[in-house]
Amino acid sequence: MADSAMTPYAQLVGAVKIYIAPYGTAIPDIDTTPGASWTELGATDGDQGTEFSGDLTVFRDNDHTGPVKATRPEEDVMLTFTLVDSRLEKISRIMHNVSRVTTTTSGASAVKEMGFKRGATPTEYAMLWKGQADSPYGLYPGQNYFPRVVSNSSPKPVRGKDQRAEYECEFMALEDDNQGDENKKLGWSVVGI
Amino acid sequence: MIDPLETCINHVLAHPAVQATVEDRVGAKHKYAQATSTPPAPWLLTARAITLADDGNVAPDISIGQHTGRLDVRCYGSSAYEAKQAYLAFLACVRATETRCAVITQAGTALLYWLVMDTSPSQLYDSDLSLDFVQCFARYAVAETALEEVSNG
Repeated sequence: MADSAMTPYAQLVGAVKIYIAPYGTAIPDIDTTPGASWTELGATDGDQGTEFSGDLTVFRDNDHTGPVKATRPEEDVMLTFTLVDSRLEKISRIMHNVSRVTTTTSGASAVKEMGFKRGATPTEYAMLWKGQADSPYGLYPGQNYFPRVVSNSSPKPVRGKDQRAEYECEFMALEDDNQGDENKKLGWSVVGI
Repeated sequence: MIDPLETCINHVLAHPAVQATVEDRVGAKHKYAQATSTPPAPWLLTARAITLADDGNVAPDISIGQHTGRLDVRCYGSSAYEAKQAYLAFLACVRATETRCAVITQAGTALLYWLVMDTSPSQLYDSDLSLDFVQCFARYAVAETALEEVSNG
Protein backbone atom coordinates (compact mmCIF):
# COMPACT_ATOMS: atom_id res chain seq x y z
CA MET A 1 0.00 0.00 0.00
CA ALA A 2 1.39 3.36 -0.92
CA ASP A 3 1.97 6.05 1.63
CA SER A 4 -1.36 7.80 1.28
CA ALA A 5 0.14 11.05 2.55
CA MET A 6 2.85 11.14 -0.08
CA THR A 7 3.03 14.50 -1.75
CA PRO A 8 2.11 14.42 -5.43
CA TYR A 9 5.37 16.22 -6.13
CA ALA A 10 7.34 13.16 -5.05
CA GLN A 11 6.65 11.45 -8.35
CA LEU A 12 9.03 12.67 -11.03
CA VAL A 13 7.91 12.35 -14.63
CA GLY A 14 8.79 13.80 -17.98
CA ALA A 15 11.87 14.10 -20.10
CA VAL A 16 14.74 16.35 -19.08
CA LYS A 17 17.13 18.37 -21.17
CA ILE A 18 20.54 16.79 -21.61
CA TYR A 19 23.58 19.05 -21.76
CA ILE A 20 27.19 18.16 -22.42
CA ALA A 21 30.35 20.19 -21.79
CA PRO A 22 34.09 19.69 -21.76
CA TYR A 23 35.39 17.77 -18.77
CA GLY A 24 36.14 20.20 -15.98
CA THR A 25 33.07 22.35 -16.54
CA ALA A 26 31.50 23.05 -13.16
CA ILE A 27 27.89 22.39 -12.33
CA PRO A 28 25.77 25.47 -13.12
CA ASP A 29 23.50 27.06 -10.56
CA ILE A 30 20.13 25.38 -10.54
CA ASP A 31 18.22 28.59 -11.22
CA THR A 32 20.21 29.59 -14.28
CA THR A 33 20.32 28.42 -17.84
CA PRO A 34 23.53 26.44 -18.39
CA GLY A 35 26.22 28.73 -19.80
CA ALA A 36 27.99 28.76 -23.12
CA SER A 37 30.22 25.81 -22.20
CA TRP A 38 27.19 23.58 -22.11
CA THR A 39 25.63 22.28 -25.33
CA GLU A 40 22.13 20.87 -25.30
CA LEU A 41 22.35 17.57 -27.13
CA GLY A 42 18.90 18.03 -28.60
CA ALA A 43 15.63 16.19 -28.76
CA THR A 44 15.56 12.68 -27.39
CA ASP A 45 13.10 9.92 -28.07
CA GLY A 46 11.78 7.41 -25.57
CA ASP A 47 13.08 6.92 -22.09
CA GLN A 48 16.06 8.62 -20.54
CA GLY A 49 17.62 6.13 -18.17
CA THR A 50 20.10 6.28 -15.33
CA GLU A 51 21.42 2.96 -14.07
CA PHE A 52 23.28 2.57 -10.81
CA SER A 53 24.79 -0.89 -10.83
CA GLY A 54 27.27 -2.75 -8.69
CA ASP A 55 26.72 -6.26 -7.38
CA LEU A 56 27.55 -7.03 -3.79
CA THR A 57 30.03 -9.66 -2.76
CA VAL A 58 28.71 -11.36 0.35
CA PHE A 59 30.69 -13.20 2.99
CA ARG A 60 29.45 -16.10 5.08
CA ASP A 61 30.78 -18.01 8.03
CA ASN A 62 30.06 -21.33 9.71
CA ASP A 63 28.01 -19.78 12.50
CA HIS A 64 25.24 -18.33 10.35
CA THR A 65 23.09 -19.54 7.50
CA GLY A 66 22.77 -16.07 6.06
CA PRO A 67 25.41 -13.66 4.84
CA VAL A 68 27.27 -11.79 7.58
CA LYS A 69 29.05 -9.12 5.59
CA ALA A 70 28.72 -7.49 2.19
CA THR A 71 30.97 -5.29 0.15
CA ARG A 72 30.62 -3.65 -3.21
CA PRO A 73 33.85 -4.25 -5.10
CA GLU A 74 32.83 -2.22 -8.13
CA GLU A 75 30.02 0.04 -9.26
CA ASP A 76 28.89 1.84 -12.38
CA VAL A 77 26.68 4.75 -13.29
CA MET A 78 25.34 4.51 -16.82
CA LEU A 79 23.26 7.10 -18.66
CA THR A 80 21.16 6.05 -21.62
CA PHE A 81 18.96 7.95 -24.04
CA THR A 82 18.22 8.11 -27.73
CA LEU A 83 19.15 11.19 -29.69
CA VAL A 84 17.12 12.11 -32.76
CA ASP A 85 19.03 15.24 -33.75
CA SER A 86 21.35 14.27 -36.60
CA ARG A 87 23.34 17.49 -36.78
CA LEU A 88 27.02 16.66 -36.87
CA GLU A 89 27.75 18.95 -33.92
CA LYS A 90 25.43 16.77 -31.83
CA ILE A 91 26.37 13.27 -32.91
CA SER A 92 30.08 14.08 -32.94
CA ARG A 93 29.85 14.53 -29.20
CA ILE A 94 28.57 11.00 -28.78
CA MET A 95 30.96 9.57 -31.37
CA HIS A 96 34.17 11.33 -30.39
CA ASN A 97 34.62 15.11 -30.33
CA VAL A 98 33.02 18.13 -31.92
CA SER A 99 36.46 19.34 -33.03
CA ARG A 100 36.29 16.69 -35.73
CA VAL A 101 33.46 18.50 -37.48
CA THR A 102 34.93 20.71 -40.17
CA THR A 103 33.38 23.12 -42.64
CA THR A 104 34.73 23.01 -46.16
CA THR A 105 33.51 22.94 -49.74
CA SER A 106 32.54 20.19 -52.12
CA GLY A 107 32.43 21.56 -55.63
CA ALA A 108 30.55 24.81 -55.36
CA SER A 109 28.69 23.74 -52.24
CA ALA A 110 29.56 24.49 -48.66
CA VAL A 111 29.64 21.30 -46.62
CA LYS A 112 30.40 19.96 -43.18
CA GLU A 113 32.45 16.82 -42.69
CA MET A 114 32.89 14.41 -39.82
CA GLY A 115 35.04 11.31 -39.81
CA PHE A 116 33.60 8.11 -38.41
CA LYS A 117 36.69 6.67 -36.76
CA ARG A 118 36.40 7.11 -33.05
CA GLY A 119 39.92 6.26 -31.96
CA ALA A 120 41.31 4.51 -28.93
CA THR A 121 40.75 7.15 -26.28
CA PRO A 122 37.25 8.50 -25.74
CA THR A 123 36.82 12.19 -25.04
CA GLU A 124 35.89 12.99 -21.48
CA TYR A 125 32.94 15.28 -20.87
CA ALA A 126 30.82 16.67 -18.10
CA MET A 127 27.09 15.96 -18.43
CA LEU A 128 24.02 17.64 -17.02
CA TRP A 129 20.42 16.41 -16.99
CA LYS A 130 18.13 19.29 -16.12
CA GLY A 131 14.37 19.60 -15.76
CA GLN A 132 12.39 22.73 -15.00
CA ALA A 133 9.99 20.82 -12.73
CA ASP A 134 12.23 17.96 -11.74
CA SER A 135 12.27 18.36 -7.99
CA PRO A 136 10.38 15.90 -5.76
CA TYR A 137 9.67 18.79 -3.37
CA GLY A 138 7.68 21.07 -5.63
CA LEU A 139 7.52 22.68 -9.03
CA TYR A 140 11.17 23.60 -8.82
CA PRO A 141 14.08 22.76 -11.09
CA GLY A 142 16.15 19.67 -10.59
CA GLN A 143 19.38 18.55 -12.17
CA ASN A 144 21.77 15.64 -12.13
CA TYR A 145 25.42 16.47 -12.75
CA PHE A 146 28.02 13.96 -13.82
CA PRO A 147 31.46 15.62 -13.71
CA ARG A 148 33.31 13.07 -15.84
CA VAL A 149 31.70 10.82 -18.42
CA VAL A 150 32.74 9.04 -21.59
CA SER A 151 30.57 7.82 -24.41
CA ASN A 152 30.13 4.07 -24.46
CA SER A 153 27.62 4.41 -27.29
CA SER A 154 27.38 2.12 -30.26
CA PRO A 155 24.82 4.03 -32.28
CA LYS A 156 23.13 2.21 -35.12
CA PRO A 157 21.10 4.86 -36.94
CA VAL A 158 18.66 3.22 -39.31
CA ARG A 159 16.73 5.17 -41.91
CA GLY A 160 13.80 3.92 -43.90
CA LYS A 161 10.88 5.21 -45.87
CA ASP A 162 8.98 5.82 -42.64
CA GLN A 163 11.79 5.65 -40.13
CA ARG A 164 14.11 8.36 -38.92
CA ALA A 165 17.71 7.97 -37.89
CA GLU A 166 18.12 7.68 -34.14
CA TYR A 167 21.28 7.47 -32.10
CA GLU A 168 21.20 5.28 -29.03
CA CYS A 169 23.54 6.84 -26.53
CA GLU A 170 25.18 5.34 -23.50
CA PHE A 171 27.49 7.38 -21.33
CA MET A 172 29.51 5.91 -18.49
CA ALA A 173 30.45 7.99 -15.48
CA LEU A 174 34.09 7.89 -14.43
CA GLU A 175 35.35 8.77 -11.00
CA ASP A 176 36.40 12.40 -10.91
CA ASP A 177 39.11 12.85 -8.34
CA ASN A 178 38.87 16.61 -8.74
CA GLN A 179 35.64 16.49 -6.72
CA GLY A 180 36.54 16.99 -3.10
CA ASP A 181 33.57 15.06 -1.78
CA GLU A 182 34.09 11.32 -2.17
CA ASN A 183 30.35 10.82 -2.45
CA LYS A 184 30.16 13.05 -5.51
CA LYS A 185 32.91 11.57 -7.63
CA LEU A 186 30.46 9.78 -9.92
CA GLY A 187 27.97 12.64 -9.95
CA TRP A 188 25.19 14.02 -7.82
CA SER A 189 21.66 15.31 -7.80
CA VAL A 190 20.53 18.85 -6.94
CA VAL A 191 16.85 19.67 -6.54
CA GLY A 192 15.01 22.81 -5.53
CA ILE A 193 13.12 22.97 -2.25
CA MET B 1 -10.09 14.10 -4.45
CA ILE B 2 -9.10 15.77 -7.66
CA ASP B 3 -11.27 15.35 -10.76
CA PRO B 4 -8.83 14.52 -13.56
CA LEU B 5 -11.21 15.53 -16.33
CA GLU B 6 -11.74 18.95 -14.76
CA THR B 7 -7.97 19.21 -14.45
CA CYS B 8 -7.44 18.47 -18.12
CA ILE B 9 -10.22 20.82 -19.20
CA ASN B 10 -8.88 23.68 -17.10
CA HIS B 11 -5.35 23.02 -18.30
CA VAL B 12 -6.38 23.08 -21.96
CA LEU B 13 -8.64 26.07 -21.39
CA ALA B 14 -5.75 28.11 -20.01
CA HIS B 15 -3.42 27.58 -22.94
CA PRO B 16 -2.92 30.74 -25.02
CA ALA B 17 -3.34 28.98 -28.38
CA VAL B 18 -6.60 27.43 -27.22
CA GLN B 19 -7.87 30.75 -25.91
CA ALA B 20 -6.98 32.42 -29.19
CA THR B 21 -8.70 29.73 -31.22
CA VAL B 22 -11.79 28.63 -29.28
CA GLU B 23 -11.89 31.19 -26.43
CA ASP B 24 -13.71 29.61 -23.45
CA ARG B 25 -15.49 26.92 -25.45
CA VAL B 26 -13.77 23.93 -23.85
CA GLY B 27 -15.87 21.49 -21.87
CA ALA B 28 -16.87 17.93 -21.15
CA LYS B 29 -19.86 18.22 -23.50
CA HIS B 30 -20.60 20.58 -26.33
CA LYS B 31 -23.12 23.36 -25.89
CA TYR B 32 -24.14 23.75 -29.50
CA ALA B 33 -27.87 24.10 -30.18
CA GLN B 34 -28.79 24.04 -26.49
CA ALA B 35 -32.40 24.81 -25.62
CA THR B 36 -31.46 26.77 -22.52
CA SER B 37 -30.05 30.22 -22.55
CA THR B 38 -28.90 30.19 -18.93
CA PRO B 39 -25.19 30.87 -18.51
CA PRO B 40 -22.96 29.75 -19.96
CA ALA B 41 -24.55 30.73 -23.22
CA PRO B 42 -24.99 28.12 -25.95
CA TRP B 43 -22.21 27.93 -28.47
CA LEU B 44 -22.91 29.35 -31.88
CA LEU B 45 -22.64 26.88 -34.72
CA THR B 46 -20.13 29.19 -36.35
CA ALA B 47 -17.79 29.00 -33.35
CA ARG B 48 -14.94 26.55 -32.84
CA ALA B 49 -14.90 24.43 -29.68
CA ILE B 50 -13.13 21.52 -28.00
CA THR B 51 -14.70 18.81 -25.87
CA LEU B 52 -12.83 16.37 -23.65
CA ALA B 53 -14.45 13.22 -22.28
CA ASP B 54 -13.05 10.23 -20.45
CA ASP B 55 -12.77 7.26 -22.78
CA GLY B 56 -11.39 4.56 -20.48
CA ASN B 57 -9.10 1.91 -21.99
CA VAL B 58 -6.17 2.79 -19.76
CA ALA B 59 -4.98 0.54 -16.95
CA PRO B 60 -5.62 2.29 -13.66
CA ASP B 61 -2.77 3.01 -11.29
CA ILE B 62 -3.64 0.65 -8.43
CA SER B 63 -0.63 1.41 -6.25
CA ILE B 64 -0.10 5.14 -6.15
CA GLY B 65 -2.65 7.89 -5.79
CA GLN B 66 -2.69 8.84 -9.41
CA HIS B 67 -5.48 9.10 -11.96
CA THR B 68 -4.62 7.68 -15.35
CA GLY B 69 -6.98 7.99 -18.26
CA ARG B 70 -7.63 8.45 -21.92
CA LEU B 71 -9.46 11.41 -23.36
CA ASP B 72 -11.83 11.40 -26.33
CA VAL B 73 -11.04 14.82 -27.76
CA ARG B 74 -13.36 16.41 -30.29
CA CYS B 75 -12.46 19.66 -31.98
CA TYR B 76 -15.45 21.30 -33.66
CA GLY B 77 -15.63 23.86 -36.41
CA SER B 78 -17.99 25.11 -39.09
CA SER B 79 -15.81 23.52 -41.74
CA ALA B 80 -13.09 20.92 -41.94
CA TYR B 81 -10.56 23.73 -41.92
CA GLU B 82 -12.10 25.39 -38.86
CA ALA B 83 -12.21 22.09 -36.98
CA LYS B 84 -8.58 21.47 -37.81
CA GLN B 85 -7.67 24.89 -36.38
CA ALA B 86 -9.22 23.88 -33.07
CA TYR B 87 -7.34 20.58 -33.22
CA LEU B 88 -4.05 22.34 -33.88
CA ALA B 89 -4.63 24.57 -30.86
CA PHE B 90 -5.22 21.48 -28.71
CA LEU B 91 -2.08 19.90 -30.13
CA ALA B 92 -0.10 23.03 -29.28
CA CYS B 93 -1.30 22.75 -25.70
CA VAL B 94 -0.24 19.10 -25.51
CA ARG B 95 3.15 19.89 -27.01
CA ALA B 96 3.66 22.66 -24.48
CA THR B 97 2.92 20.31 -21.59
CA GLU B 98 6.50 19.10 -21.26
CA THR B 99 6.72 18.95 -17.49
CA ARG B 100 4.46 18.56 -14.48
CA CYS B 101 2.22 21.54 -13.93
CA ALA B 102 -0.24 22.77 -11.34
CA VAL B 103 -3.87 23.34 -12.36
CA ILE B 104 -6.52 25.06 -10.27
CA THR B 105 -9.71 23.02 -9.82
CA GLN B 106 -12.74 23.22 -7.55
CA ALA B 107 -11.25 20.52 -5.29
CA GLY B 108 -7.91 22.30 -4.95
CA THR B 109 -4.70 22.56 -6.90
CA ALA B 110 -4.16 19.52 -9.08
CA LEU B 111 -0.81 18.27 -10.30
CA LEU B 112 -0.97 17.20 -13.93
CA TYR B 113 1.86 14.76 -14.53
CA TRP B 114 1.46 14.42 -18.25
CA LEU B 115 -0.90 14.98 -21.13
CA VAL B 116 0.21 13.30 -24.34
CA MET B 117 -1.35 12.40 -27.66
CA ASP B 118 -2.45 8.79 -28.05
CA THR B 119 -3.63 8.79 -31.66
CA SER B 120 -3.40 10.78 -34.84
CA PRO B 121 -6.47 12.85 -35.76
CA SER B 122 -9.57 11.66 -37.61
CA GLN B 123 -11.50 14.18 -39.69
CA LEU B 124 -15.21 13.48 -39.15
CA TYR B 125 -18.64 15.06 -39.54
CA ASP B 126 -21.41 15.29 -36.95
CA SER B 127 -24.63 15.07 -38.95
CA ASP B 128 -26.81 15.92 -35.93
CA LEU B 129 -25.03 19.23 -35.44
CA SER B 130 -24.07 19.68 -39.09
CA LEU B 131 -20.55 20.41 -37.90
CA ASP B 132 -17.15 19.13 -38.87
CA PHE B 133 -14.97 17.84 -36.10
CA VAL B 134 -11.57 16.32 -35.61
CA GLN B 135 -11.43 13.42 -33.20
CA CYS B 136 -8.27 12.31 -31.45
CA PHE B 137 -7.35 10.63 -28.21
CA ALA B 138 -4.93 11.70 -25.52
CA ARG B 139 -3.63 10.13 -22.33
CA TYR B 140 -3.16 11.83 -18.99
CA ALA B 141 -1.95 11.23 -15.45
CA VAL B 142 -3.09 13.44 -12.57
CA ALA B 143 -2.39 13.20 -8.85
CA GLU B 144 -5.51 12.14 -6.94
CA THR B 145 -4.65 14.36 -3.98
CA ALA B 146 -4.75 18.14 -4.08
CA LEU B 147 -1.44 19.80 -3.41
CA GLU B 148 -2.91 21.63 -0.42
CA GLU B 149 -3.87 18.35 1.27
CA VAL B 150 -0.43 16.94 1.98
CA SER B 151 2.80 18.13 3.50
CA ASN B 152 5.60 18.85 1.12
CA GLY B 153 8.28 17.82 3.59
